[in-house]
Amino acid sequence: MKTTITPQKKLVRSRIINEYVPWILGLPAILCILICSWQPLIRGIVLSFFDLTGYDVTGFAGLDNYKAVLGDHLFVKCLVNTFEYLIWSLIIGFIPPIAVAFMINELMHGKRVFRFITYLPSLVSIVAIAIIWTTVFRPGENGTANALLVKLGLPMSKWFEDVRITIPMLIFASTWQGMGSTALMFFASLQSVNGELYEAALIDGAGICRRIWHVTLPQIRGMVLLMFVQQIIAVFQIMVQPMKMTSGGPMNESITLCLQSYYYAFRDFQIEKSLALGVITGLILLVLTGFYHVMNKKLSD
Amino acid sequence: MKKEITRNGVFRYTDMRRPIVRFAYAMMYVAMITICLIMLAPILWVFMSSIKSYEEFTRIPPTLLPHSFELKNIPIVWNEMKFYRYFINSVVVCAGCVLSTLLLSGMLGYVMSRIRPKGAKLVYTILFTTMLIPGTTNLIPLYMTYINFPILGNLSNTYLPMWIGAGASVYYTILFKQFFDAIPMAYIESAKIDGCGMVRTFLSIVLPLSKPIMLVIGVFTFNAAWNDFLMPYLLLKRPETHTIGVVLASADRLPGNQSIIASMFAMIVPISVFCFVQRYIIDNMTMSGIKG
Repeated sequence: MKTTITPQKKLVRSRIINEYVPWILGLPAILCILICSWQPLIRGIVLSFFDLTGYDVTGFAGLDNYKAVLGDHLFVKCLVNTFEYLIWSLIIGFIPPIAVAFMINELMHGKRVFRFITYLPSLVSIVAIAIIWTTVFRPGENGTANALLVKLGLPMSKWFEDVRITIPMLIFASTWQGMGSTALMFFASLQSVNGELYEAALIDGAGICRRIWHVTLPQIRGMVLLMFVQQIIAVFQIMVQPMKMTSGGPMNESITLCLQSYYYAFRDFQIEKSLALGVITGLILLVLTGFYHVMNKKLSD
Repeated sequence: MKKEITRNGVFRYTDMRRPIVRFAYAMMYVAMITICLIMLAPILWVFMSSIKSYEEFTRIPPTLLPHSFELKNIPIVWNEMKFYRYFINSVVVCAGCVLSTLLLSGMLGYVMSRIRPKGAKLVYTILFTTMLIPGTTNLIPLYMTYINFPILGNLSNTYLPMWIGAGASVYYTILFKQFFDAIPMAYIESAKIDGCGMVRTFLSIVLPLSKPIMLVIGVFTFNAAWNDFLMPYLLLKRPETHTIGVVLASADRLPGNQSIIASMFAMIVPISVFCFVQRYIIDNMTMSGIKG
């Protein structure tokens, strides 16, 4: 068949090229995002209402999986623990990055070196950190931390096996790792504070503390709020740290919602329970993330 | 304006007349150096423990600083545990991830920012919504997808899942878009007038301009892929496909300081990459607000 290209056809064709062909460039990424984010979300929700044998659907379960999860004596433990992680992370992990960023911003010398060193732990993999931490903090006489305590004349500690400090120690490990990158965000925020504001406050006779309270804090308030919610979301998903350092122990004292979901799937081979717990955790997180994004949007406007 | 201590710090020269302020300022140096020591201590401990002899490492109580200097264990881990092999595997995974992120996220960012075909706004909104989906709770359904993938079948023991995951970086796509948004439209218009097509404009105008963002995102993707452990740990079952992260996950059973040496091998790569490029990275990171 012979085709003639009239100017009109040409126009239509160029419009098609302009409007649809570019999507060929974007399609691979969109496909990956669908596979990695949307598809598992939907699959997880749908399958959590079914009975599974291995990974195959064997029948409709209704709400049975959810009942089984909520009825598990570990569920309350996981929920309480997760909130305990949250509280400790706010006590141990929230102020240090702000303080570090503040100090780096104030100090005349060594800005680059300080930023670099505080960022270094972010480059170490969690698994390596778990090996380091569990070796240094061995509960017995063969632990390096205990050797240090003995040298200082202090009594030895059981570290991870002491239920009172298991969670704080895990939080300390994550704070040690994540502080540098959070401090960088605060640093960027502090850098954008206009120096003339301090100048003006100084002329008005405001001392250092009052300048921090009335000038610095209001200026970085947005970032503080943002990091606050982001930290809550991150801690809520904590899983690898307790998995590699304590396996959720001692006596399930450090187990979390996400870790329990992992154990359901890969230790107890009860995929449907794992998915149901995942959906429950996801719902709690959705409230938190929704809150975060509303706030983020308000701040960026 | 007269010179100040720092451009936008709270402490000013006039404050420094008071001794108590000078003392507080000095204390900040002390605090910062202490924090840096705490940050460095575990990393230094790894390097120090790697050169201890087996006998010294297992001594009770352990020595705080190494008394012996023995490099013998390092080649043992490298050769007998076939670490070189896992190293190569990790490099392959990381290279694929970096390529995947830069190419796929970059292209999608470019399409949304500069070409803006029909539906670009909708896709952008969907991307933002995607960031609401929590990653950890997606783990198990995603694993189920990979072991029974449409058309390709079982993807365990391949690196494809990691590369697909890297191509799905929503956050980096949005960063790319915002970066491309900042490129003046005049550059692109003038290239168009000179007769450059879509692809040519991208390759000869946009790509050279976006080196800084490519570097930052590339390094972050590399480090994340190098340190990634969960998905590879679940999917890579055959020993010859293992990456550093997977090997490390079972390294705590190794005798003596061999697990510490394995950790050292794992952390030395991201740290040296970062040392190499940190001058460009930290400033770019501060500007673009990336959290690694």
